Amino acid sequence: MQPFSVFSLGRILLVSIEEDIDDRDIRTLEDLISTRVAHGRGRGVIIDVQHLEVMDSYLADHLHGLARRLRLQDSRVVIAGLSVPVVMTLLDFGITLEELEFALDVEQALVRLQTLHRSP
Amino acid sequence: MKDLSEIDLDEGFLSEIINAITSGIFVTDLDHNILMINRAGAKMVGKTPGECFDRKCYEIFDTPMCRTDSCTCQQAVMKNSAHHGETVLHRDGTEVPIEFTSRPLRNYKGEIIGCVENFIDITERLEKDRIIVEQKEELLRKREEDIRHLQDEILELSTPVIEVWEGILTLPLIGTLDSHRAHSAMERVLEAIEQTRAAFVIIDITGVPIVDAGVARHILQTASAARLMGTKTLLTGVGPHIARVISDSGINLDNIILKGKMTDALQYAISRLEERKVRLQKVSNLIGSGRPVSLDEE
Repeated sequence: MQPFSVFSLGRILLVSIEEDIDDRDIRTLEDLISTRVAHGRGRGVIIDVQHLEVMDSYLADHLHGLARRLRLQDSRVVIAGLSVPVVMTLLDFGITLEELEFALDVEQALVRLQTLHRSP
Repeated sequence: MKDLSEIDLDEGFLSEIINAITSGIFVTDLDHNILMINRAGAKMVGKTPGECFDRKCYEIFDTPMCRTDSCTCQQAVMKNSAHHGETVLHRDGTEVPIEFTSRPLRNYKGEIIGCVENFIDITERLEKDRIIVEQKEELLRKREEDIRHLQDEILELSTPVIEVWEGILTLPLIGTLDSHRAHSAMERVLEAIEQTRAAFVIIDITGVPIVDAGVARHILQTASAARLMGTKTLLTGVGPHIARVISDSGINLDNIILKGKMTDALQYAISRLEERKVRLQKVSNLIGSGRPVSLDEE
């Protein structure tokens, strides 16, 4: 079983990450998203991380890199559902994830993707 | 009243007096043989005077200093003066704390021939001391607890997070902001965001007299934290002095929307929320109607 699931909602890719995702799975997921977007299956990518109890710098780094690459592919990444402890740890480590966008939950992420596409 | 001279001061009478004393008294020779012990002393080791007589004192009392160089008798004889101390003796396997005094015993020529010791059971006193110490510690602990509680209370009072509108939180900061307070404010803002699902946080620093680079950084960090949760931060109440400090320190406030007054910030946030609501409606409709969500619709 993969520790993540990917759904297509029209041209939005909804990715849900499970708690026990490891470094190898992250790379698999990255490739998967990148390919899907390349096939025109995702103008916006929502990554739901509400199940994560910790986000290590490796995952943060990869999400950042993914966002940068997807921008080159004319797509955007919104991270949804970061919890307070995770946010506090990220800040303690000085990780601000400047290139990423965030939303409280998937619903808000959908709204966000809709808005910002109209006024790029 | 009888004249003292009428009393017969014989040996029997003296031993009566000694036996009537409630502290333990015993006499040993230089070889640790017990020459005499009173009733109270024998009772303290669970014996009668007869059972103790002519036995070695270290067998009867068995204290930690017995048969060592610190033997109280030896000390008293060596120093030729009284020797005080506290120790424990053993009575039927249980320990009894005692306080003792030893004095050298001389014969009529003035030669030291042994040692006189008197001792009392101090179990009760130690117990009382222990209780006093315990109560003192308890009191100190309680006071520390109270102080900590008050500190927490003050922290909480000084950083209230108020939901003034559905989806809008305000954090009116008043007083000096140190890093501890700023950190707790940040934590409370994040918790409030998670609870209320707020889209905007308005931080008002009208009531903060001094803002240095450190405070500005704390505010910025709160904004960064809020951003990670998908919430926008607005900053209001920046006076000319504070504006100068922030611009001089070169801190990047890109993640913060700056508004002059609280009312401006509220107006901005509310109008944004309205727009959002419309869009949310649209998204819900799209999902609800079973049509695929398309971002390129309009």
